[in-house]
Amino acid sequence: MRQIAFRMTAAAVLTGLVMLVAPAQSQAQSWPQRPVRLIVPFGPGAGADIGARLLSERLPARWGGKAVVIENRPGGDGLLAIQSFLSANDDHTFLFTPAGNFTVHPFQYDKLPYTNADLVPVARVSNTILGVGVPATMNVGTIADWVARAKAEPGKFNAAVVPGITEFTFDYFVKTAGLTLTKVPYRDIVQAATDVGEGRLQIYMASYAILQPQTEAGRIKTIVVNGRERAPILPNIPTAREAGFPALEVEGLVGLFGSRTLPKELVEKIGADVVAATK
Amino acid sequence: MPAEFAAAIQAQREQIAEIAQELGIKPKVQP
Repeated sequence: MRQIAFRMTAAAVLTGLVMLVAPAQSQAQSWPQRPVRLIVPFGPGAGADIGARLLSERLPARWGGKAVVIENRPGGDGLLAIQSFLSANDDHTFLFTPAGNFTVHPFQYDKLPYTNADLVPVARVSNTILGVGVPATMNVGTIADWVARAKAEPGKFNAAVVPGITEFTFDYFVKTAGLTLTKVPYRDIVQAATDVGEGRLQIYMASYAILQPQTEAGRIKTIVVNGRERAPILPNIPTAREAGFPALEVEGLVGLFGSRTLPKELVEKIGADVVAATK
Repeated sequence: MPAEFAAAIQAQREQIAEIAQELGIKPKVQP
């Protein structure tokens, strides 16, 4: 009798579990029902925007032909894009961004319109290559050479900085290397590279996509990359750690973030689809 | 995959917090 009662209870529990899981699985199978939006916190042509557009070309084939639409919301240190993402509050709108765009917000702003729980990590898509560029006219071979020059002329060197994780990391480098220099804040990341290339400033840490045109034109020398490993497209440029300046080490995590209302099964499905689309 | 990405982001948050501490910068808000 007791065994029968147990079997009936177990069956009831299992039925309940199936009823709970089934709608989420069904939702994952039928998603997407309409076009999917990827909100990017940069203008067209930025590294993350290019990555998002690659996904917008490849994902419809996995999502029943539903379009993937890119919306550029540059400005406000990423907050405009985050607000746009939050206001949508649905399971068809995602934020496509470098994590470094928001991980420093708590140290920049007194108030934030979101909590960490509002940005649900769905899939890591790529690594932005970050690098440190100096004017080619300085004729320095390594970052150690550059530091020696900066120490020999304290207070005479200027650094281009853009608010965010690169400035944070660069400040740490300046402190640990014992440097005295002037920071020149920029909002226009391309103009900063142009000014370094023309020798008006002596150093700039930025995504390699920004340094690349000036580097290829021979005006900037990219002396280290900031990731844990060398960038495959720049095999001859050492990492900051290899060059003896681990304070400059930071990963350019770029990926997709979804709404906190997304069921876990749907997060897993979308994450798997996105990663598969990048291969 | 989402869990690995979440772990990488958490690691970056912790790295930023350590750097901030070294620089004497306190968080203005806890998101």
